[in-house]
Order: sequence, then structure tokens, then C-alpha cells
Amino acid sequence: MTRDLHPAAAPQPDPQPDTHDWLEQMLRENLPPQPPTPGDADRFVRAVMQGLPERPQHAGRVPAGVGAPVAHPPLPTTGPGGLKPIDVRQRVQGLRDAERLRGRWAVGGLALGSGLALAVAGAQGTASSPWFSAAVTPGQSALLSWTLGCLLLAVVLAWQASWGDGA
Amino acid sequence: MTGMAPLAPGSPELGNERLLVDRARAGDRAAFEQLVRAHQARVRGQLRRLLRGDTAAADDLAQETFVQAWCRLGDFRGDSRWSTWLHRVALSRYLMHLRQQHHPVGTAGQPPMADDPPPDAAGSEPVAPGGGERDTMRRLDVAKAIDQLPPDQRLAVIHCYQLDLSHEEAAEVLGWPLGTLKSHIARAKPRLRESLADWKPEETP
Repeated sequence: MTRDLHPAAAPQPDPQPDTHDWLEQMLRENLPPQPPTPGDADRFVRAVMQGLPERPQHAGRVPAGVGAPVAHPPLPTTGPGGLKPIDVRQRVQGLRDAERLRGRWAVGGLALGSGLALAVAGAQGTASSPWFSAAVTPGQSALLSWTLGCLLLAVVLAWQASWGDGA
Repeated sequence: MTGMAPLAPGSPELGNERLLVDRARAGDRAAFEQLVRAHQARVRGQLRRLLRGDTAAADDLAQETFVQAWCRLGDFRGDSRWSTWLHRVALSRYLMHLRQQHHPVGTAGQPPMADDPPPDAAGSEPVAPGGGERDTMRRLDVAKAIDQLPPDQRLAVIHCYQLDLSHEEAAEVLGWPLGTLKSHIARAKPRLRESLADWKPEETP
């Protein structure tokens, strides 16, 4: 970008356009092209309208009376300084949710620990349990322990994954 | 109405435009469609001039301009005409396009050479009725002379003369102080006079 001097330091010409100036007249005659056909304008407008998002994102200022937020009446309260009913319900529900969550973590942790222990024991081939007494060999016992542990783990993981669905 | 002439302050058309803008801001797509229809020619013209006649790229940017205008209608304060604000959004899209293309400001594409076809030779710019070959040649020379200006002077000339904005409106679109705009115009004129000296009309005694 070439700059000879700072533009603000240069003398300022008359702001009024000189209509008798041949150069200005020539520049103004060279106005931007218009779309050649109405069909072209129609196609452009259709393309723009199809590309618009559903609603404008009104992040900026909004003039008075246009899209201004509506003032809602205050919610009733249970008494002077008391909590609004909606708040009480939310607090009670929140406490219940927290309690339920703690219980699930406890059961889940216990099952997870058992499953892991069984899986590790099965993998090491050291599992010996009254469930698999004389009828099974040590190798089969290890395989069964490993399978049982993995199954338990899968059940626990699936149960935890379903929490987000409100199950 | 496919184009929109500058509106005088207080004119009924300007009031109607404000009404349409207010309705569009409230989410009225039909009102916004009317605004697009009314202003599309000028915005596309602005971008075609800035992109040196690259019609396809100009129309792509024009479409993005209107989508951005729709999304940012809440930013329009109503201090200026909506068309001025729209030209500013279009210029912003153009400058972003240049940054993405790694061009210095105002140098999109190559300056046209002497043997280049006219900027809008793809059929988008009809020859003026009764213009003839001489007028076409003159228009090409004018476009070439403008394109050879330094970037800031080119932007100033395009917005003041080719888009027929007032100096105040052009300064607002370009985001420059008014004095800076006038200085760029004053610097551009001698260059243009020199480039277009052959087209200077004969002095009548």
C-alpha cells in the first residue's frame, strides 16, 4: 500500500462535487452495472432467502418498541421475604437428585470393584471359588471368572450411561 | 424496482425503508425480502467493482452480505440509511475475502491489462443504449484507470463516484474520517485526469 503523506495532513478539497468537472462526470457515468434481467434479480433474491437462518440473532441494540423484551408480572411469593414456590420445588428436587446420585455411585462403585476383582483374578488364573467346585478345572474357573467380571463391568457401564436419560 | 436510487432524508421511501427494517428486525422474512430486492443491485454492483468484475465471486459475497445483514439487524442503530450500513457490511465481507485470499487490501485479482476483456464482459453489463463502441471504450478506460489507483484512493473513488454516495456516506462506509476520504479523492483526481486525458472533452470557446 502506497502512501505519500498522511492523508489527514493534506489539504482538503471542496466537499461539494463539481458537476462541471469532466472527470467527475465521466466517473459518475460509469455507474455499477445493473442486473441484466429481472430473472437474474429474482434468482439472486431467492438464493439469499433460502440461505437465511430461521431467526436473526439479535445480539445488538434494539430500538424502543421493536422486539423489546416484554415485562412480566412478578411471581407470587409464599410470604414476606420467602422463597417463590418454584424455587422451593427446585431446591427439593435438587436434593433428591443429589441423594439418588450418591446412592448410585455407591452401588456402582461396589459392583465395579467386584467386577474388576473377578476379572483380574480370572485373568491371573487364580480364582478359586465354591461356585466352581470340583466340576471345573482351574482353567475353566479362570475363564468363567473373567467372563463374569466383564459381564458385570458391562452392566455397570450401561447403567451409568443410562443416567443421562433419567433412568 | 430492481435498483435503489439514493433516498432523500424525510422522503416517503426512506420512511418505508425504516418500516421494512423494523419489521425485518422483528423476524419478518417478507420485509427482509423486499429490502434484498431493493438493494441487491447496488450491493452486487459495489462488490463487482471492488472485485474488478469477478461477477461470480461478487454475487457470492453479496449473498453472504445479506445473510450477515439479516443476522446482525440488531446492530443497525438507525443513525444512517440502511443502504449505507449495508454497503459497510459488504465492504467488510470484501476485506475478509481479501484476507482469506492473502491479497493486500484493494488488490483482489490482477489489475486489468490493456488487452483484457471488459470487467463485465461476461454479459452482466449491457452497453448503454445508444452508447456504441466509443462509449464502451471510454467505460473500459475509466474502469482501468480506477483499478490502477493505489488501494485507498481506489476505494474512495469507487464509493464516491461509482456508487454515487455522498462524501459523508462514503466515509462512513469506509470507516474513515471525512478529511481522510477527501484527501484520497483529491490525490486520485490528478492521476485519473492524467490517465483519462485522451477522453477530455474539447474546450468550447
